[in-house]
This record gives sequence, structure tokens and C-alpha cells, in this order.
Amino acid sequence: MQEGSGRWHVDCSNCNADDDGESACQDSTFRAGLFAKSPARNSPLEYVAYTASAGEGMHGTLKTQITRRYHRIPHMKALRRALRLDELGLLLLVLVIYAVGYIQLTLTTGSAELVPTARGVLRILWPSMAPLLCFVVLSGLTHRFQPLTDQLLLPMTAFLSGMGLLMSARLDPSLAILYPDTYPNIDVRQAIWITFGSVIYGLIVLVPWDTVLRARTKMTLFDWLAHYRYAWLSIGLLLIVATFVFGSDPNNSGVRAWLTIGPLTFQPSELLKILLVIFLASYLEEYRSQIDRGVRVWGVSLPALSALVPLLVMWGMAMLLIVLQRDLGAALMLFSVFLAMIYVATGRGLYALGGVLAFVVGAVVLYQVLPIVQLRVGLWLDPWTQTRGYQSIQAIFAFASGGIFGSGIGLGMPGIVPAAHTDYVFASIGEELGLLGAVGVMLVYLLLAVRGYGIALRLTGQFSTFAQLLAVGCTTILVVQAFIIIGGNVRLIPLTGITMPFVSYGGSAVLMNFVVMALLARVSVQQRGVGEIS
Amino acid sequence: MTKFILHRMVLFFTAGMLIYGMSQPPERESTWLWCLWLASIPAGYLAFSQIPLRLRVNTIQRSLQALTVIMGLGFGMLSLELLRQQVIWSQYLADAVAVNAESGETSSNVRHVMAANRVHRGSMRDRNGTIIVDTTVGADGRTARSYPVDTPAAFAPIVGFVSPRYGVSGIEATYADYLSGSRNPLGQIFRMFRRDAVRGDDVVLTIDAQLQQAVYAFLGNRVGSVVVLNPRSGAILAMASSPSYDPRDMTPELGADPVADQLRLDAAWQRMLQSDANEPLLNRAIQGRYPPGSTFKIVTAAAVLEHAGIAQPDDITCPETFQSEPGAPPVVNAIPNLNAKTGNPASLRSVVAFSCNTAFAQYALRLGATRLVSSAERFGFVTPEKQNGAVTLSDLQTLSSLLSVDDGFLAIPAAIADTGFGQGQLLVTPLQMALVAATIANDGVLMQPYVVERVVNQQNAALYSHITRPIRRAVSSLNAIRIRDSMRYAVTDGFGTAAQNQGVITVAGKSGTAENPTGIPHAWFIAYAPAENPLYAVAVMLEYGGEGSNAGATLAGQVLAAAAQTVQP
Repeated sequence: MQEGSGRWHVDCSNCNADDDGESACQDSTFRAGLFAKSPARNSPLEYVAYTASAGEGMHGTLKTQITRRYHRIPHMKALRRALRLDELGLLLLVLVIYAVGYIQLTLTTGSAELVPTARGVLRILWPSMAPLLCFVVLSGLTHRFQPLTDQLLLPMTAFLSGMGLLMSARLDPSLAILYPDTYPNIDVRQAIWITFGSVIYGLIVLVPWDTVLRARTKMTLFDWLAHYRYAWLSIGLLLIVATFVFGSDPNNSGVRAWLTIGPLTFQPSELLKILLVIFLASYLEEYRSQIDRGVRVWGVSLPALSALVPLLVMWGMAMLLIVLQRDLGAALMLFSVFLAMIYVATGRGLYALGGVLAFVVGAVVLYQVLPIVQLRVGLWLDPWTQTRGYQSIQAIFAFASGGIFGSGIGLGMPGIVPAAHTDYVFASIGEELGLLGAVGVMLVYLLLAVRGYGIALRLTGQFSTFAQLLAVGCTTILVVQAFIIIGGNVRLIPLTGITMPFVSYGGSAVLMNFVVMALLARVSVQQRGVGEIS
Repeated sequence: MTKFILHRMVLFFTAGMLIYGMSQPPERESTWLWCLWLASIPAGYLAFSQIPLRLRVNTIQRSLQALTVIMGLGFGMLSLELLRQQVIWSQYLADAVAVNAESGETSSNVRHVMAANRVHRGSMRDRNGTIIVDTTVGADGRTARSYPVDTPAAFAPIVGFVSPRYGVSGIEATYADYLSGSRNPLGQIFRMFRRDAVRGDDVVLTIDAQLQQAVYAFLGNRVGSVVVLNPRSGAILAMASSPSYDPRDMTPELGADPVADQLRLDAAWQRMLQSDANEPLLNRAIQGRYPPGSTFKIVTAAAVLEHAGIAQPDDITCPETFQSEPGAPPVVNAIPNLNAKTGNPASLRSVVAFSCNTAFAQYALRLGATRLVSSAERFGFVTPEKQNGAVTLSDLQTLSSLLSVDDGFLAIPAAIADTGFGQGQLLVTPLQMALVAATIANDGVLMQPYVVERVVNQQNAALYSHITRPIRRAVSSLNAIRIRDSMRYAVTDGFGTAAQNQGVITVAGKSGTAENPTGIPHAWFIAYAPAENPLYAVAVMLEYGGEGSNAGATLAGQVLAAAAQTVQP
């Protein structure tokens, strides 16, 4: 009880300024209830009833506080949370947005006749919108099996995936004309990947892994992930080594970052990023206090060896990725994720700053040595006079032709930009949806950052460090990826071949992004102070 | 308080840096990038300092908030980049052309071309509603010009061509705004929602399609041009120039193999540029300038009549030679013993009809440069010193007609004498000579010539209509009647008898045989018909066509007969 009330006070310090309608105090209501050995909650309505009666049987100040807080919560709010109405409403909004998008696409490209009846409209929407319906199903299942999951994660995923679907449907005819056999049916493929992705998301979030694993190994999912960290790291590194040896380059992008197994091609760096986040979360959790302490040598506080070693290893790995695989984007992303995690784990800005400096120094050295780095930087600063600048120039034309409002879906010519569906999908969005659409998409990523870090922030107590760092890592992976590729598109930074999470066309990337999102969703369940409901 | 001031200062500094960077043109991209990256540091400091202290009590809160601020800054910078490229400098960037430093190849924004390829350009119709130029839409939504007439080449010098590679010419160029629909604000709004809604407005020409093709056929393989216009209104009924080109050779073929089609277009273009092709892209009627020969005598005659007291029109002789000034080569007539035909003493009527050079040299010297020039200027001729009075066609690019090439040429008496009978340094367009005939036919009033009657939208509402406009009176009505009498006499009895066309229509006119350095003269004829009540004025010009009284007069007769038979007044 001492523990519980301690947390309670910390939470309350947050709740006044908490303006997102998900006040931490309410979470504490459940948390406190859990300590009081609450009855199992199976249906949402029972859950509401339980929420309402949470204050019963409490003692002392805690009880009065809860009661006071409880009376300030409108019943509607509790109901909305219990029934997950926010998630459902936002998902339906996303569905409406893309229904309009698909109808406009049909009208502008004339790909099908629009019959203005309900059936005619449905015939246009049915196969294209099917993957988005998966999210509604997922929402329903979450409501049933994992009602404490964060309500914004799924709508954000649906919005971004929907953007990817719409853009692939938009670009498919253009690519079919420009590159007849290279990218067949990207819209269908992307739909399949997103459907697969949502299934994987469902499997990770909805299956009671804690119970399943506890029965076998006496560990929760996160404990299990943390425990086998060296196994994950070894698998990831093995895959990368495998790409050095067996790597292929199916799209002639100049980067041998794919593994071909039979008919499937797979990008191991996509899997590596998740494995690395899990490893780092576990490692930093264990050595957090040591790293934090540092070593004092002659009165100067130096980072501990346990911080220095991973720092150096990660730095080396990033540089190796660039040198051996020419994969600047992956290196930048992995290193940023690492820096974000070590910064959160230790709270020491100097580590992050030192890491940034080390990366800059490494990059400058590599710039002198590697022609590909020189080329990328040259194309970034002045694409206009160079042979390889064609892609960049076309992207500039695409953005410039879009203007504020864009040409409208299906009315621009984004297909001209090489790799319009992968690396340059943001240029396609910028052209057809304009500044407003492009900023809108970026705002969703920013919201993802705020939400993800918010999830990490609400996890308190020393036993949740792993989950906290996992949330930070997962959020940073997605957001930094988006930043790097958008930055490359608009020439804020040199262009590196990396996917825009959920939006770019590509199988392994989409699947892995869903895994990352699912892990974040699981952390958000943890955030409520309870495990999964078994 | 000091903190507040500090924050304000940092804020202004950051904003100033961003505004300065934003104002840098895209060539100075790195300056902008420096500004943006440097501004992100104070902006980050400001953003982090705005977070209330009670929300960053512990390490984890502080570092997560710092991370959020960093992400927010990152996306803020991306948004500023977008703002720069999509709003501030968007027009500049969309129109930019990249030139490869090694190969010199250029790449530009293909959207402009593709958008033009999809525009359903408006049609062009003749005065009777016959469609001359239309648009066909291919299966892929691309559009191309089509010419549903028998001889598209007859119309090419007027309507022009639309080529994605070689540009736009003729009415297609001057009326591009209307034809491509960009003058239509409602269409612009529709265009935001539908791709196929861009529909241009239709142009109605004053041309008679049947007459135009007949005139082009009369020219045949000869090099030259013909202008037929309505003297009362200035409306151009036909304007042929030969050799011409087939505008279909400039038009991409829908559904054809793009590479083969491009080769076809390139080959056609190259063929037109060859020297033996005789410049088919030149509209000789308005862009060809030649010495007018004796047709200019009508202008001199008008000056003589206007200044009858000085020039004494009927006190004239037609000697074999005339010495304009000592040392100058003497003026001679085209044929010997001309005074047997003109009579001695002659009259204005007879020296016009029999085109007596020596008589007009005398007239010109009597008038002097000032009077001759001012009279000619009233018809639309200009001197190199004063170019602004030229009569040009606002619908098509027209060259002005010059009384002399060199400044001060007309100060020499021999030059005045030569100019008086149409040699000297005169360089005139067939359109200008047609206007001389039309002005005489229209009782001395020069009308503004035009070729576009009106522009109508799809609902047939006129967006533009030509208003018939007299430019000025060039010669008095009485004097115009006297010149008409002379021109009629030239056709009945003088050197223009070849223009009589089996009595289809009574013709009055004046021939011209313009000497030029190459030897064979240019053949000219200006005329109007019917002689009693003129409806058509014409100028024909045949390069190296020989005697105007022969080839020129015959062609003019044919053209006027065709006009009488085809054109409904």
C-alpha cells in the first residue's frame, strides 16, 4: 500500500496539466483498485460499473482523494474510455477520409465508372478499403481482449497505412506505364502487406502472451524479451553479416541490403532495428545505474565503461553499415535511436551530444573517403547540374507544382519522380495533396512522437524501465525514420534510401513497422498499471 | 523580467534569421540551410524553456520532453522547407530548368507540357462556321490538333501549329489564352476537381475556307502570296502564302508509337528548314517585304490629287527617259514609245493605266519628299525615322511597310523620283498593298484589317468581338473616285486587261513589276471588284513572277472571280 500511495502522488502531480482527456489520476483509480484485489473484468459494462465503484473500501486520504477525483470525471468520459469510443470514432474518420480519397481517385483517373448509388460507391471502395476494415476489426477485438490499450495508436497506424494504400493505388497505373514489368500491382501487394501487418499487430497485442509465457517460462512477455537480449542481438547481426555475403539488390538502388530466399526478398536491417531496440532497452535497464554514475578521474566525471562500450560499438556499427553496405539511412536511424535511448536511460545530454559529435566526425571522415557520401551530399546541396540529380530535380518539380492545396489526388504527375512509391512517396503526397496534406501527414508522425513518449513518461517505478525504454525506442524508430526520409525528400538533409513508416511501398518494412507499433501498444497496456487481462 | 526580454530577443533573432534565409533564392540553397539549422538551436532553447518547471521535475520527464521538443523542431524544419518549396519559391522552382554541367542536357518540369497535351483546345471556324482546326482526344486522354479541311496547308500561315517540341505559332499563339481555356475563370475552378474539364474557347475567323483553299490552289507551286479583304470592314477573307506546310506534320499523332512519331515530327521540321524549301514557315502576306513596283503609283497618284495645286495631275507628259537629277541614271519606262498609249500630253488616268514611270517620277519631284511621305503615311507606310504609324494586324505578327530603308534616303531627288513609281528603297508587304486597293475602294477610308471576328465559349456567347474601326481617311472621297476611274481604265484598256475574268465580275486594278537585284522581277497586282460597288480588294504578289500585267493580273482576276462565286457578302 505504501508503494501504491507513493505512485499515486506522483501521478497526481501530472494530472492537472494533462489535457488529453486521459488523466493519469483516472489510471490510478484502476491501479488502486487492482491493489484492492478487484474482481475480474470481462465485459466493458462491468468495467464501467467497476470504475464507478472503485472508491469503495478505501481508507484514509487515498479514499477521499479518489472519491473527489472520481466525482470530477464526467460519466461520458468513463464510458468513452470503457467502450473505446475515441478509437472507434477516429478509425471511422480515417475510413471516411480514404473513402473520399478513393472516390476522387476513381473520378480523376477514370479507372472505373462511378454509379452514384450506394452499391456503385461500394463497388469502388470494396477491394481497396478492405485492409482498412482490418483496423476496425482490430479495434473491436482490442475492446474485447485488451481494453486498456492506448486509443490513439491504432487510428494513427490506420491513417498512415491508408495513405500508403491510397498512394500505391494512385501510383500503380503510372508505374505500369513508365516501368511496365518492374513494379506489378503495387496496390494489391501493399494491401496484402498491410493486411498481414495488422494480423501480426493483432497477434502481438491481443494474444495474452504474458499468460502463455508465464505458463512455460515463468516470465512475462517483456521479461522474456529482456532476458534473451543477446540472442536477439546475435540474430540481428547474423542477418546483417548475411547481407554482406549473400545480399542482393533487386531494385538497383545501389544498396545490397536485401536477402532473397526463394520468391521472397527481405530487408534484414528492418528486423535489426527492432532487435536492436529490444537489446538496448534490456542492456540499458541493467546497467542504467552504473552508466548514470560515471567514473571520476582526477576530479573529472567521465562516462562509465558500460556506457562507453555500447556507445563505441553502436558508433562502429553505424560506420560499418555505411562503409560496407552503403546504407546511410539505416546507419543514421539506428544511431539516432540508440542516442535517444541512452539519453532517456541516463538523462545525460552530454552522452547524446558526444554521440552526435562522434557521428558528425565519422561522417566528415567518410565524406573524404567514400565517393557515395560525396555524391549524396553533392546532390543534396546542388542537384541542378548533376547527372544523378534527375531524381532530386523531379521531386523539386513535384513539390513546387503541388503548391498549397496540391493538384488533387490523381490530378498530378507524381509518377515521373523515380521511386515515387518508395523513397519519394512524400513527394507524391506533396504534389497531389499540397503543403496542407504533407504537413498533415507530418503532424501524425509528430503526434506519434508525443503519444509514444507520453506512454513512456507515464510508466513510473523502477520495474518498468525496460518497457519505458522499449516505448522510447519504438517511438523513435518510427519518427526518426519519417524525419530522415522526409528530410531527404525536401532536401533538409541528404537523401538516404529509407522507407517512410507505413506509407512507403515495401513488404518487410510495413510488417516490421506493425511489429514496432504492436510493441508500443503493449507498453501502453503496461502504462495503465495492469498487465493484460487474462 | 530579464528572462522575458532575453526570450523576446532570441525569438526575434530566430525569426529574423528564418525570414532572411527564406528570402534567399534557390540558387543560394546552402545559405538557407545554414539559417534553418542555426535557427533551430535558439528555437529549441525557446521551446524547451516554455515547458512549465513542474512538468520536468525528474530526469526521465526532462529527457523525454527534450526528445519531444527535438522531434517537434525536426518536423518544424521540414514544414519550413515545404513552405519554401511549395509556397514561397514554388513558381520559380516549377519553371526552373536544370542544365547538366557535363552533357549540357536540360530537364524541365514536364507537367507544363503534359498539361498542355491534355487541354482540349478550342476550335477555329471560318466565317460560315466551317471548322478549320479542331481537337481530337485520344484513348489516353491526350489531345491533338486535327484539321478537318481538304488542304490544311492553305490555312497553316494563318492558324499556325501546336507542337510540343517546336512551340506554337499563328492564331494558335496569339489567341492561346482563349484557345487553351486559361482565360476562362470558371474552367479554372472546374479544373481543380476534374482532369478532363479543360476546354478552350472557339475562335471564329473572317476567312472564307472555300476561298482560302481556292486561292492557295491558284498559287500552286509558285512562290508568293495573296490577300483578299473586304474594303468596307477590313475583314480578311483569304490570306494565302506559298509555299506553305502541312500543320499535321507538326502535330503528334495520337496512339502512334511515340519514338517513331517524334522522328516523323523532327524530319518534317528539318525538311522545312532546308534552303530549297523556300521558307514555308514565313507568312509572306504579312511578313514578306518586297519592292512594290508600279502598284505604288496608286499611292503617288493619291498624293498628286491631294496636292493638285502643286502636282498638277493633268499637266503631265510621258517621255521615254527622265533625268531626275544630274548624274543619276535616267528613269525609263517598261516599254518604249509609251506616250503613244498615254497620249501627249497625258493625263493622270492614262499614266496610271499604262504605268508610265517617267510621268510618276515627275509627279514625285513636283510633290517633294515631305508631301509624298505624308500622303503615303496616311495609307500606313512608314519611314525608318517614324515607325509608329504602321498598320498592323493585331491578330498575327505583321511587319511594317517601309518607304525607305536608310534614314534620309528621300532627301535625294533621284530617290524621290524612284520612290514615286515604286522602286527606290520601298519594302512593302502584300497586306499593305491590299490595304491601298481597299482604301481606294472604300472611298478613301483606311479600315483596320483583322482576321479574328470573335471568340465564343461553349455556350456560343461571345467573349471577344472585333469592332469595325476606320483608322483614318487616306484620301478624299472625290480623289478616291478619280483613282478608281484610273484603275478601272487600267483593266479595261491599260496594262491590267489580263485581270478581266470572262465577265464574272468587273475588276479595277493596277499592275506592278518590281525590279530586284536578281534579275527576274516580282509580279504584283492590286485590284478590287466589282468596279462599281467594291466588295473585295485584293493584292497578289508572285516572287520572281515576271510581268505584273501578265501573271499578276491573271491571278488577281482568278481570285476575284472565285471570291465573287464563293463569298456570301
